Amino acid sequence: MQATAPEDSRLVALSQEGDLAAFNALVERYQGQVYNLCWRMLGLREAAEDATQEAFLAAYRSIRRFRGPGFRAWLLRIAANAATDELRRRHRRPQVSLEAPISSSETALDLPDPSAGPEECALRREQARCIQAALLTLPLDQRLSVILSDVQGLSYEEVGQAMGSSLGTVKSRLSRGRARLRRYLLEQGELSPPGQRPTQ
Amino acid sequence: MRNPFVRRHPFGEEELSSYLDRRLSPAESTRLEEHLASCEPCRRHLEGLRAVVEGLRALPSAPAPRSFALRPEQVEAPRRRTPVGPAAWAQRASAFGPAGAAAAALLLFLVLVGVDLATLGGGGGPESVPAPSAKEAFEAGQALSAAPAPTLAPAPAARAADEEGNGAGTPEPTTEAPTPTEAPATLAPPGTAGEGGDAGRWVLRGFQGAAGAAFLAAMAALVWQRRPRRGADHG
Repeated sequence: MQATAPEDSRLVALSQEGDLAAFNALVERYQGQVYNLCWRMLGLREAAEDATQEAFLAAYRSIRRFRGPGFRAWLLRIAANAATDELRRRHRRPQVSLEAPISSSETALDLPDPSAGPEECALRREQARCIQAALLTLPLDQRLSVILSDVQGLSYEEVGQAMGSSLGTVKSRLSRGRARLRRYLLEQGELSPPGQRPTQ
Repeated sequence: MRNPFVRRHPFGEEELSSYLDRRLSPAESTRLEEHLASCEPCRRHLEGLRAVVEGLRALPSAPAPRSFALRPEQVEAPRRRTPVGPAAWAQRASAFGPAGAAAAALLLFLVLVGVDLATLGGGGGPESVPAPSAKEAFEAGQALSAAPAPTLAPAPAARAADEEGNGAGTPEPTTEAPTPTEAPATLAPPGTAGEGGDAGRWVLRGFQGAAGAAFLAAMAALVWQRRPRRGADHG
């Protein structure tokens, strides 16, 4: 991380002067992360591709206004906005229901570890599909905080930066999102039977 | 008085979630661990949350399906097309904003008032009788100007009628075409011309009212637009 930070800032500075090649170097570096965020937010491959492309286009157009630090969090914020826009656009003109069960072609991206046996592989695939379906049941703010923190591995501070929220808000959204996921997975039989602890 | 449940389980979702992320203070962590040691439901709840987080962290990353590198033609600023026809007029009009709209409405109002005054004899009330006043205007016009109207009788005949003091008399037409002032009096039954004039006047005044209202609305919009704004720069 220490080695890439100055490199990011150099590429950002060049991009701010209109250097498209420098910006595309940033695209190559972060496109996987941006695409994964969009895909986990939307659950549809095609929609995620559209949102990813829109995110990079929007980032290029507004990079002159970026003042740092944290290019990744800034970019992920733009990606989250693009995914949200795409979601709203598809809700207005539904082609494929975003609440529909995830098809096998969509979850084909969730390739488990090839070293695992076929049974283990099928189990992990099913678990991944179920978790993705559970993610799609969350409200957008909770979904985004869970994806950024638990799937993408950002710190609370980075999540706050990416969402434009305070640390307290991040903690609250994250805990509520995790609690909802837990309830959903319990209902689906994907977790061990619930304890007797009543909900607060 | 505290809720009995909260007394029994003093740590909520947020504390449990933060504990999993090691974001609780050492003192809070110790208190939570002490509670967990003696509370089976909370322990199970925490294990459920831990399983969720582990499941999320185990989700594999999908490789980007293609390159999202931008092409030069994608990042070029879209050229603004010059609108034509009504769109161009609408754009020009909107460029002036409420001030332009107010000016246009005022101009329209003044034009309509001018038309009213010119055609309806200075804006007499509905009770006035239009035919005689028009006739008088005609006669006054004849008296003031010697220039003959194209379809009216030649000036000498009119002058002769005036000189004889026969104001109510109709000049002798030398052509077969009736004079405009004669037509309503001879062809329409009494009162018809007055009703037609009233209707026209009311329509015209309706337009005047609409133009006046548009002017007032545009002025209000102008005042609203130029009001001092608080916190506008805080974005």
